[in-house]
Amino acid sequence: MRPLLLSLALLFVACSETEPRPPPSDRFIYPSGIVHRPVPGSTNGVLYVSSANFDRCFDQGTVMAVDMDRVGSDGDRLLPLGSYTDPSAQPVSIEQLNIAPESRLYIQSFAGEMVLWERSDGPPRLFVPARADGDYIHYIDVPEPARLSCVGTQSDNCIEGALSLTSNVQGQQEGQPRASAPFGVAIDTFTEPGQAANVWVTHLNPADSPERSRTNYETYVVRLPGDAVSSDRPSVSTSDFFPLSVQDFPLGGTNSVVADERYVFVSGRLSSGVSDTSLARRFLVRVLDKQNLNQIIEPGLDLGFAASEARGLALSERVPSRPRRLYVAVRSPDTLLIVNAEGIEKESDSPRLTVVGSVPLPDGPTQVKLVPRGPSRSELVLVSCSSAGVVAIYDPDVGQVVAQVPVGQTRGTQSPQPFGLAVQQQGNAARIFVSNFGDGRVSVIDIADLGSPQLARLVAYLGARQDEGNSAQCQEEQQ
Amino acid sequence: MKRFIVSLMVVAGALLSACTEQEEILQTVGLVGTYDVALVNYPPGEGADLLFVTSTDNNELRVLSLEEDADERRFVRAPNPIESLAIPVLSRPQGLTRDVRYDGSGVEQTGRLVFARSSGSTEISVVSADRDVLREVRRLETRTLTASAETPSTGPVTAFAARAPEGDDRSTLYFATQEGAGARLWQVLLPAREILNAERGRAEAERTLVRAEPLGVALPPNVAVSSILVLPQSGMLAVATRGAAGTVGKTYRVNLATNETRELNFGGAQVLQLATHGRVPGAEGQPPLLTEGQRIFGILDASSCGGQSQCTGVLAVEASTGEVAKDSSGYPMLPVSVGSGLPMGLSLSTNTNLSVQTGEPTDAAGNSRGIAVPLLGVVPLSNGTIVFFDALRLIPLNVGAIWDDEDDEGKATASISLVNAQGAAQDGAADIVFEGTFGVTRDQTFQLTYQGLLPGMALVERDATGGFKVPFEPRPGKGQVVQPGDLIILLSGSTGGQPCTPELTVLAVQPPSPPETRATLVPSGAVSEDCAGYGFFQVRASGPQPLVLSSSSEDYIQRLGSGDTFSRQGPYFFHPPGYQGQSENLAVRIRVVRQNLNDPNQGLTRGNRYVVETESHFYPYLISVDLSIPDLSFFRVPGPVVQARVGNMDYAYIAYPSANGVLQVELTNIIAGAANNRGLFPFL
Repeated sequence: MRPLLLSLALLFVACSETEPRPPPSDRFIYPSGIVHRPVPGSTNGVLYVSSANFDRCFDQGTVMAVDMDRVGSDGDRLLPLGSYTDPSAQPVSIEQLNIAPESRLYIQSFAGEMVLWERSDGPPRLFVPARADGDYIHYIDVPEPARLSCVGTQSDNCIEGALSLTSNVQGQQEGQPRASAPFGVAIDTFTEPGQAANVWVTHLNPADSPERSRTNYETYVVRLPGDAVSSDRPSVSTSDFFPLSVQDFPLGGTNSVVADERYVFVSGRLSSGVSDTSLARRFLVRVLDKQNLNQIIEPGLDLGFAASEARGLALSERVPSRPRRLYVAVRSPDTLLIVNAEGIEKESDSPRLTVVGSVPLPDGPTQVKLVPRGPSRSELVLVSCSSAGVVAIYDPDVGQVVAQVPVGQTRGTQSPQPFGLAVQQQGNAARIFVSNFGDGRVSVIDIADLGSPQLARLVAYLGARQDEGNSAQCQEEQQ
Repeated sequence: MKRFIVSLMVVAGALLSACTEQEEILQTVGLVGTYDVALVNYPPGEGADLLFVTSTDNNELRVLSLEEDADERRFVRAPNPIESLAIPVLSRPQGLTRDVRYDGSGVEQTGRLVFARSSGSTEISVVSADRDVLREVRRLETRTLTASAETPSTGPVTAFAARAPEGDDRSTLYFATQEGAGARLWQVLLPAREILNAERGRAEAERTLVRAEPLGVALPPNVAVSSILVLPQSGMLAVATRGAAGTVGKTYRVNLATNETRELNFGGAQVLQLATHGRVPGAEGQPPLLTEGQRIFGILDASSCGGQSQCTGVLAVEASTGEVAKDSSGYPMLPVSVGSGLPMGLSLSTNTNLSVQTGEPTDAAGNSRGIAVPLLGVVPLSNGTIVFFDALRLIPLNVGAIWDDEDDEGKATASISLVNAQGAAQDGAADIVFEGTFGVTRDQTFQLTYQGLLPGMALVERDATGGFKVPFEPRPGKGQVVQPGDLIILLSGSTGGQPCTPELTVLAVQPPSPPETRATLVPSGAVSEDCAGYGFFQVRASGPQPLVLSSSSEDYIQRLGSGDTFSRQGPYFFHPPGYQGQSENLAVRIRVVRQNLNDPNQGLTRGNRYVVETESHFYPYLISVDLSIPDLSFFRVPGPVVQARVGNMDYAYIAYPSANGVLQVELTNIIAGAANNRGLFPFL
């Protein structure tokens, strides 16, 4: 009897007393959201990277500001865009990130996308949704290019000041509205002069009502209004949640969002255990009219292309000689949809979205990012393809994917799983930063001449791998 | 005893039958990324045809052997017979082609090579289609291949095609690359097949030297090549280009001997993919209906004009003139297209059997078409449907050509009913007259509602003075809607509530003075005391035009009264018999011939409505897949298609990237206009 009691006591101690495991300060852990910011006086600018801590090896995730001129060591720095000229050279691996203490903050685990708001009335602000406990969106100020500051708290743990999209929502009844597993985020600067930007947020898990009842599901896109977005006390109310479900469509989550001058475009994805896939229709994209937020527009893209679900999306800029295009990454089959977007001007009451092209993509298309090339060339379309470990570059002027750039090797359980995309554009060249969710690094792809995107090349990896050695076993020594 | 034995035999037979009828078990080989298919024909007696399919995410091809015995039709076995053969090729193969030629009878003959390429890649895999050597025999690296050219290529391959040799000679591969300054065209004379087969596995230096030569064809700057097509005529190609930044690329027929080009005008649209056909023989002793390659078909690029109908679908041009081919009406054909789906592939096959549907038109003698279609076009669409069209007559196959006995065949008609508020219907043809045009009138439903609500006036709040202000032009372009004689009905609440009686009549309508946008209605009398506190009202049509016309897509079209007519023109969506070249014609004309609409005794009552259902008598020959069948549930989005005759059966084989499989469609066992499961078999 005595040994049994002793064992139980030991078990209790083992279970209840866990050593703190702060995330590492010198590498990314399941990097997800990524934003590049050019900085005056800096050659390579600053890269902001959120770490999702997906295996929960650590207590939190992080957001880091990486000074791209300081990564590596002497003789091993990241060279400026256009400097990697040998097409046969292997990508350099720069493990040393040289993150200063003020350049790193803690956030909730499972971070998704990330955006930066370049505000005129204060320091730039990052918005980072994370879908672990609390379903938070974190507000992070950037008072200096490589210095980060949590909004709503003095500490370096931004969870303390983060805004939950499921708990304590003013006016919430029977668990609704709530945005469980917030994931996608977009800045909406198309506001009245002098007004702050709005922030739009998607979420992956439909909300049941009452909570955990598995009934009465609803899915939303959430608008964080400008006054709350610019405030130091983030808040949200029920009137900021806009339901998106439509009868006869399978209910699922919302993945990504793009806000334009009048309309907001939201992509939809299936939700395991909730979505009824026997229905004929599919939620690929839904449109919200900012002048009539109670009206959901279902543009019927699935009637043009019967894919199962969607992921990232991006809207081309207004160029006088060309129609505007919404590019949507869809799955099953993995495809880039090219959608003609007409009637989306501020004064138009009737947006018309028409699928005018489809391009096969490597396995697992995830995020979509555009690289404008001026009036004489169409924008390039970048798509991170997670399962294939590739960034695909679609050139609308060629009508094909002109480059598939592998960002790592897939071997056994190792896979780079590219997720987020950020672009540094300099004249007629561009550098693409890719968060490798699977191996923990950031890949750097250079397009030396935007007129020849087919020559895009992987030139560097930033950070140390997370899928090798002790890191892979969640056993690394704490710093 | 005899009866007992017979019974025993019946039972035993039934049991035997039950036990021997094997459940059909799907063979799965783990295809991942079925983006393209290529068919290689074998002459009779030399083995079954082979269907090559990409397994893109596995970097390989698989081969389906189209055995005549359906039970034996399966993926080719690997040397280890418990596995199916995988042919490793370049990374992520997405596009396939094979070498083709046309024999003395004008019949397309395939060679024994299959080529694979990938988006953004500078490589081309050359795969032997010899049954004995099913494997990659050469990997062409186009930067090396073009190294000896004055300006070598550095860009990816965007299109390719190959011409098969006569006999056992050498195949020629044509390909396009995308360079910084635009597209370039190349040709490679490959070593003979035996040499390719023999040299597989050797080091590059020990293989026969292969070099690509640039074609001397001048393409416009800054275009890309979307498609290359080998034409039956020796030394002739067709090349489709794509323009940059919103400009529209053109398509050309290219004479490689002279480097001359002739534009092929696909109605001004850009072309994504080209195809042609073999000879279509005529009746015994008669000249062919079409010579091989007489027409060149193109899948139009909907992105080149925003998805409008003139640049969506499939169009054909005459190879000799480059102009849009004329259909059976004698006028330039219309693009073959259905709904909002994009064509994902195109196959053209001669004398192909396709089941005859009950709704197909008959000739003057009442005979249906024969089961064999002289030139059949098959187009899988991205919305999941598969369209079949008559590529000889260049018109859709119509399965909706059914008329009632009392109707004139070959004309658009309408069924007209008068429906009361309870939903009871009676014939309304004596009150409303319809006219339309076969080929212009579409299936649509119109309603003429007696004393219908006017748009934007279902629930209007009275102004601060208790007056009646309504939108002056509630529907842009429709003008003033409310008229003197209309009815104002006061309502007690914002959700409708109790209507007030008596109703008021509009005496006059005072147009708004800018910036006011609402008109003021002057009622014929005072509001009754009982309703004085009612804060809301609605306006209904009455007076000389008490009918409100709406349709399934428009909540308000116009008002009509006795003797009034609504008419609308529309474009032709197919060319019916007797078509004379008009660009548009009467789509719908609705005339109210009833005179006593407002007669208090014999007239209509509120809530009565005429329902006019126009009937196009046109439904294209298309099928979809029954997704409720578990084995077919992922066959949502089709890709490229080939037609194959196996034994005496005709099939379409369609790649389905959404299902990671290939669907076999038995063309004589399908039902048009329906979700099919009969006649379909998946290979996964």
